[in-house]
Amino acid sequence: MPTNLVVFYLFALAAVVGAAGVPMSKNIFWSAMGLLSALVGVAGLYVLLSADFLAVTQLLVYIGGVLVLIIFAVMLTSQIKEIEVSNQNVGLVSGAILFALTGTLLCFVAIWAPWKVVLLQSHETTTDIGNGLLGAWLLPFEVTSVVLLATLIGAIVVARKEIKED
Amino acid sequence: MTIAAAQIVALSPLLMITGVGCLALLLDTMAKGRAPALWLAQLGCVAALLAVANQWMGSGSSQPIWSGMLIVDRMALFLDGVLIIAALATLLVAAPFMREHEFEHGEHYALVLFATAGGMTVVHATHLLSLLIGIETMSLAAYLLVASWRRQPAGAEGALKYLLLGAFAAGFLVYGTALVYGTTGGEMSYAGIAARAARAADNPLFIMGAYFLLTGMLFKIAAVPFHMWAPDAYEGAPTPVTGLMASGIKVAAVGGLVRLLGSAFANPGLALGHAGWVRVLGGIAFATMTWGNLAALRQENVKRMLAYSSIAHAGYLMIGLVALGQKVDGAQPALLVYLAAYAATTLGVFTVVAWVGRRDDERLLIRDWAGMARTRPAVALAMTVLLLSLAGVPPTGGFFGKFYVFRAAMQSPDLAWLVVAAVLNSLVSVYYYLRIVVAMYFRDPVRPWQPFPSVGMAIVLFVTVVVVLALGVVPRPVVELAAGGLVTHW
Repeated sequence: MPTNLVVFYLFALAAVVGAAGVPMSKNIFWSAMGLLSALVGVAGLYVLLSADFLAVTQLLVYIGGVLVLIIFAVMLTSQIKEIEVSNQNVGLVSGAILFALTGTLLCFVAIWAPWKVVLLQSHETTTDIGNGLLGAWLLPFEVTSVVLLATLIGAIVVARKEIKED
Repeated sequence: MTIAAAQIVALSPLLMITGVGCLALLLDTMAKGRAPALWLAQLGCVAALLAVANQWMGSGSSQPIWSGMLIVDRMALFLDGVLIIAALATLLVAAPFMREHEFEHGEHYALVLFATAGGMTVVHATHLLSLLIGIETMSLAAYLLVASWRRQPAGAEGALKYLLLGAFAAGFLVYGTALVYGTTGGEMSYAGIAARAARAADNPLFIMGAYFLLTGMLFKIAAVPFHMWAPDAYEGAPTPVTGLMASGIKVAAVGGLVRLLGSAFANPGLALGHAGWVRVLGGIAFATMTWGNLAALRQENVKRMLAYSSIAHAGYLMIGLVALGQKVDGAQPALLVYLAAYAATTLGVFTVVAWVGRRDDERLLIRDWAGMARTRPAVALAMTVLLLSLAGVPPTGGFFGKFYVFRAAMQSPDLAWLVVAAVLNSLVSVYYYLRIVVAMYFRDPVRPWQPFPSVGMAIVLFVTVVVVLALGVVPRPVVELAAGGLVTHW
C-alpha cells in the first residue's frame, strides 16, 4: 500500500472515530477530545488534497479557536458539577436506525458512483482564494459580512444582562 | 470585474434593507430611547417598497446580477414586496409587544431587517452559493430573534432546537452543493446545473446532492419529516417573530425552492426514477399537510396550533411546487398568489395573538379566548375572517390562493389524488380553526378582557383583513401582478 493511502486512512480513521466519540462519550471532556481528533483528521485530509489554505484555516480557526474555547468553557463552568454524566445519550435506538440507513446509503452511493480519478497538481492556493474572494466571489463575500454582523449583534442580545431603562 | 451602476440600482431594495439595518443599529446606540431606530427601520421598509415598485415599472425583462449569481425579475420583485411588507408589519407589531413584555431592544429591528435581507437574497438567488448565504443570513437572524425573549424559558428551548436542526439543514445544503458542484464539473449556477444535469444524472452522487439540497430547503419550510423544530420554535418565539417566521421566512424558502426546482433541476431527463423529485415531493406534500392538520386538531395552545397549521400550509404550497415540476402552465403565479394571501393572513392572525396577551396574562390557550367577541367585537370579527382565510373559505384570499394552486395541479392527471387529499385536509382544518371562533363567540369569558391599545397593531390588523378580503373579492390585480412574475427566463 502506498504511503499516501496509509496516511489517508489514518486521518480518515481519526476523523470518523473522533466524530463518533463526540456524541457517544458520557464525559463531556472526552467529547471535546473526540472533536479535536475529528477536526485534526479533517485538517489532515485537506493537506492530502493539497488544500493548504483550508488546512491551515481549519487548524487556526477550529482547533486553535473554537475547540480551545469549548475546552475552556467545559473546565471553567462551575455549573457542571458531575462531569462524568454531563453528556446524556438520548434516543439511542432511533439514532442507530437513522445512522444505519444513511450510512448504508452513503456507502452504497460512494461505491456505485463513477469516480473521476485525476492526479493532484499541488500548487499554492492562497493567492487564488484571495483573488477569488475579492473578484468573482465578492458579492457572496460581502453578504457573508451581514451574516457575521447579525450573529454578533444577536449573540450580544442573547448574552448580555438585561438593562432596565429609567 | 466591474460593478455597473445599473446592477446597483437593480439591487437597490436589497441594499436599502441591509443598509437601513446597519444604520438602525448605529442610531439605536446614539439616540435616546428606542423610537428613532424603529422609525428608521420602518421608513427603510417603505423606501425599499418604493424601490421595488420602481424596478417593477422600470424593467420588463429579467436582469442577471454579478455574472448570474442573483437575478432581478418579476417573481423576485413580487416576493421582495411580500417580504418587505411582512417585515414592516413585524416591526409595527413588535414594538408595542416588546414594550408590553419589557424586553424592548433596538437590535430587534435590525435583526428583522437582516432576516428580510437574507430572504430577499434567497428569492433572487440563481446560484447555489448565493442561495446558501441568503438562507444562512435569514436563519441566523431568525434563531436570534427567537432567543431574544429571554425571560421566556420556552424561547431558549425553541431557539436551541431551531438552531441545532437549522445547522443540520445547513449541513445538508452545503453537502448537496458540494456533490452537485463536483458531479457537474464545477457548476453552481442554476443555468449551468440545468445544462449539465442530463449528463450528470447518471452519477448517483449528483442525485444524492440534489436530494440533499432538497432536504435542506424542506427543513426551512418545515415539511414533514423535517418539521420537528417548528412547534417549539413558534411557541417560544416572541409572537411578532412567530408571525415573521410563518410568513416572511416561509415565503422566502418557498420562493428559493421555486427557483431551484424550476430551473436547476427542472430537466425532465433528470433520473431520480423517471418522475424524479416530483413524485418524492408529492409524497412529502401529502405527509406534511395530513400530519400538520391531524396534529393541529389536538393542540390547546393557540400558537402551537398555528404552528401545525403553518406546517399544513407548507404541504399545500408543495402541491404548487409539484405542479411546477410537472411543467403545468400557471403553477408559478398560482403559488405566488397563494404565498401573498397566506403571508397576509398569517401576519394578521399573529398580530391578534400578540395583541391578546398581557405581561401577566399571556392567554395562549384556546379557552382563554372565550368571550372575546363581547368586549372586542371588531377584533373578534377580524380574527374570524383571518381564520376562515387560513381554512380556505370563500370569499377570502386564502380560498383563492388554494383554488389557484389546486386548479393548476388539476391540469396534471397525476396530481388529482393530491388535490383530493388537500381538499379533504382543508375540511379537517376547518374544525380546529373554528374552535377559536366558537370560543370567541359562544363561550363566557373566564377572566376580564384587557388587551392593550396599540395603533401599530390596529393598523396591521386592519390592513391585513382588508387585503385578505380584497384578495377574496377582487383577486384580479394580484393575480396579474403574480403572472407578471411569469415572464422570466433563467
